[in-house]
Amino acid sequence: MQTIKTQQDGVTVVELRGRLDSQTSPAVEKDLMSLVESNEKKVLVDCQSLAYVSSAGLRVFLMVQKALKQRGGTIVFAALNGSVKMVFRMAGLPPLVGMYDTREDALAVLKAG
Amino acid sequence: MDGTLTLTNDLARLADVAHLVHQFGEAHRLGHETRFALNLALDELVTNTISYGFDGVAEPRITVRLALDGEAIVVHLADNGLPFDPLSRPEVDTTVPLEDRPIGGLGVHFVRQVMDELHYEHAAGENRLTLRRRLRPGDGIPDEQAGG
Repeated sequence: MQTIKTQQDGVTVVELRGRLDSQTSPAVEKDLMSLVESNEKKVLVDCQSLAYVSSAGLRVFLMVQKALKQRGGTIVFAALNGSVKMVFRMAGLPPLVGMYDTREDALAVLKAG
Repeated sequence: MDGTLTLTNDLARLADVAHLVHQFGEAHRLGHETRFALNLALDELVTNTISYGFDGVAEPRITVRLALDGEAIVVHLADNGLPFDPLSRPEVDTTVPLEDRPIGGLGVHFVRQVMDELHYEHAAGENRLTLRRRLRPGDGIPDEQAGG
């Protein structure tokens, strides 16, 4: 599991690569929570290379979303593959979490917000 | 082929579970969605057992077996942990706002979604789960598109 962070137009883009399960989620949780602590307000998670996510991974996403929201921030997700999208759907997230087909779409929304 | 794997209480072995599903999927030409379903169900259940099931258990052991039974894939999962029926958990209400949701329980909810039949029993000192998933149109097709 790899986490690659970049800044793009005032947005923190986090690219996740690999499998996000109960074994790999603690490191990703630490990485994402560090963004909250450093007061980032706009976070985009690029899921293009995220092959798999389980409930342990979703738990991290929801925890970060909650923490960011409390500080007036936003997190959105882009380029989810079929199985990752299915996990989001099974958890009932689509109406509650920003999901976009491409990183560009997500960036445009975050920049406008 | 049947696929069998024995695990201890080590989350690092989840990669072995994924590998087992991959091998079984290749051998039976299972479609991408079915491989994902098997992966997710096993991951969630094994994670729960490793995280909560082995308190005070001297030699933790989980066995996973995948088999094809006619028109269905059968997953046998057994562990020598504390007696616990994961299917006894109340259903998760995914329409509740995120802030109001309890954080656990989603894993078993996923298992219910991706498998067709679930059965639990406690016997001979073991938790035994049997899960079935009917073969889908994308399974068993001798076509490269069925891979994944």
